[in-house]
Amino acid sequence: MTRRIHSRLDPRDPAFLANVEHNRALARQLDERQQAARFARPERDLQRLERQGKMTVRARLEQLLDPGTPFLELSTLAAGESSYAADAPGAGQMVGIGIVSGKEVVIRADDSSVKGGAWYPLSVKKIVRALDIAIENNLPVVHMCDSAGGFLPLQDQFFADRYGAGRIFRNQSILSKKGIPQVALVLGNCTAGGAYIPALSDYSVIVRGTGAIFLAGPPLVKAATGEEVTVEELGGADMHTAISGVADYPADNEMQGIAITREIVSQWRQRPKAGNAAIDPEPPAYDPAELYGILPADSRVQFEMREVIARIVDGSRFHEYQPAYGSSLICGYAHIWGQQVGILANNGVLFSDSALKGAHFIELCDQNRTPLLFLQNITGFMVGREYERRGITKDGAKMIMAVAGASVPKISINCGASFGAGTYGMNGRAFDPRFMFSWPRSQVGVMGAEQAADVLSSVKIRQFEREGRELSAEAIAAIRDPVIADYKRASSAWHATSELWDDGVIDPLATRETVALALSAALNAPIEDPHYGVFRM
Amino acid sequence: MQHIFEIGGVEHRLWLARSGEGYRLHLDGGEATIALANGRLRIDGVETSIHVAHEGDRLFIHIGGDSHELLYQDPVAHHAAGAGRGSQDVLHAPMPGVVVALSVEEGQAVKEGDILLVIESMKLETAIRAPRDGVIETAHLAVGKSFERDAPLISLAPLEAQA
Repeated sequence: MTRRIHSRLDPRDPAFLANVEHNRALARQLDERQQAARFARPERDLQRLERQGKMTVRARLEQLLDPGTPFLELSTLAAGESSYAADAPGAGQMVGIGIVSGKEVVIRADDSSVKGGAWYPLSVKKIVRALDIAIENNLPVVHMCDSAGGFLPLQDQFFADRYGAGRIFRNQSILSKKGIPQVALVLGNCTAGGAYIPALSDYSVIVRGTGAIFLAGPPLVKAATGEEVTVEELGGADMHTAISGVADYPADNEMQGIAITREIVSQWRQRPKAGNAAIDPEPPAYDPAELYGILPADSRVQFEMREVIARIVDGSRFHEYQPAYGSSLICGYAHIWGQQVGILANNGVLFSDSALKGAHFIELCDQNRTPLLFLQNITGFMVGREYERRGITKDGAKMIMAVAGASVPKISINCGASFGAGTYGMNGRAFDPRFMFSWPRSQVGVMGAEQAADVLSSVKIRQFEREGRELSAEAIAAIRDPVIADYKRASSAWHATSELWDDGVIDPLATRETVALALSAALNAPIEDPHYGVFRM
Repeated sequence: MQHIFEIGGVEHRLWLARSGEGYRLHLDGGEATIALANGRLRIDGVETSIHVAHEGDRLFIHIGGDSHELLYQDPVAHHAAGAGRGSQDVLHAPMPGVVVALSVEEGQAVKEGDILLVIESMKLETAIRAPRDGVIETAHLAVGKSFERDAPLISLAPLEAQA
């Protein structure tokens, strides 16, 4: 039995109570944003779906999943801060990991309730990410297709680039090549590029009357060749399943289509999980709800990460590695829902010793086949002459080398701050965490808002000074304040998740369950043997 | 290393070793064969009914008409010499920075977990808390003073001196 963390929290402390208020309000805001992205649709759009005999994407999901099983939804607030937020709630895509016929699968669905499920630039990013998740974690995919195709006015932002729409079809092909099955359920139009989603899926089901697959719809065909043809003739269920062979199974209606899809998934083989055997789970000894009291309302105030760990891990038990060395980075082993994890958590800026400790601990976990959990609250590496002379950059490079090279699954949570090279050392998005989530209070950027505002406004201030104009404190504030506001917006969790820099914003209280589901998904892929690049000594 | 349980303030050391269908209990130097199934405990062939409940490290046992409370002693905590962090007298700076608030004065009594001072470093504020109950002997730095890493911030009066 591993030792428990001894909490020093005082729930009667006024600061604790103020923090609770602040963090509850943030959690409410998260909930409201998610509810809106999932369910708030114009009445006329819902009526149109009903006229077409279509279910909403959420109703389809409910029928697809095994009843009573958890669904780990990803990037619910994608595109939420974009210029087309109102036309593409959740980027017009619903993505998550759920249980279908007893198997963990990635579910990706077009949401045709607004703008016919058109693909905007961030829709494409979300679809490509969903398929990257399937590739990295060996997860089969269920597509629920119902999209009018790419949103033409913005095509320059989602088509030609490496991670443009073509990447969707490349990823589908790679999945098939790796023996990871996909099924496409066609519930509406699959036009132009979208037609290739069912065509590149190993299995496809198409619903009579509403499902259609074609490279060009009837109006475009008429314009091109003068041919007049109905939707059903051109790309309906009976034509494709009996004549063209583009789709495999006809379905009489959406419910039957979902039932056939579930039957297909039930045929797929169950693969053994990777990693070490789990132990019996144990709830944390300290109430996770106290997390709200720990996280400071003022983002400049540091907080004790052991208090956070105590409210996430089984039994609040934590075997701390090197408890006396490099104390600004906490490293140690714990279990989450019975599965062992190696935790790296920031308790201050990174120094040479903390970076070395982190690199060493990552290698230990890799050898022990223990997945890694990064709890980020990092403003960066220590600066100054003494630290440069002691080679802080090469020690940071060692940590980055270890993070990038680790073979075990890595999961990251941005708990507060993720800035500069600290983001790299702590397994930021660029280091391929299998999953990455943000707490509503978190910020991510090259540097903090205050420092960035100083750098950005000092350029302007010097320009004024060169012109011989002296600036009052008010004038400086007038330059600096809008810069801070703009920078804060662009480094907020809402912006980060809108741009898919993470896989979703989560309520801190949901962290334990979210990490458990993400770990379970990640362990579907075998873990390579440890091997690394050259560590600069 | 044997497990340590405390019953009514008395420590007992025990270990269970697998033996056939049950276990061999090694307890305070003695040995017995035991098995537990369906709420029945058998010790050297004698069977009794038993009810067990636990909350954290505490076990509540109802056996033979009596109730007992057992406290599991974590071995790492139990064997701590008391010379580590918990009893440290001088608090050192975890990073270079500036004192932004000092909440205590010399001679003041503090409780474990009380905020003693707040420092700022790399634009982040960190509260330095009392590692144990004690009395402030020296506050080494005033508000506004800067310091290097490992500089002494607060000294607590040594425990022996208070006794």
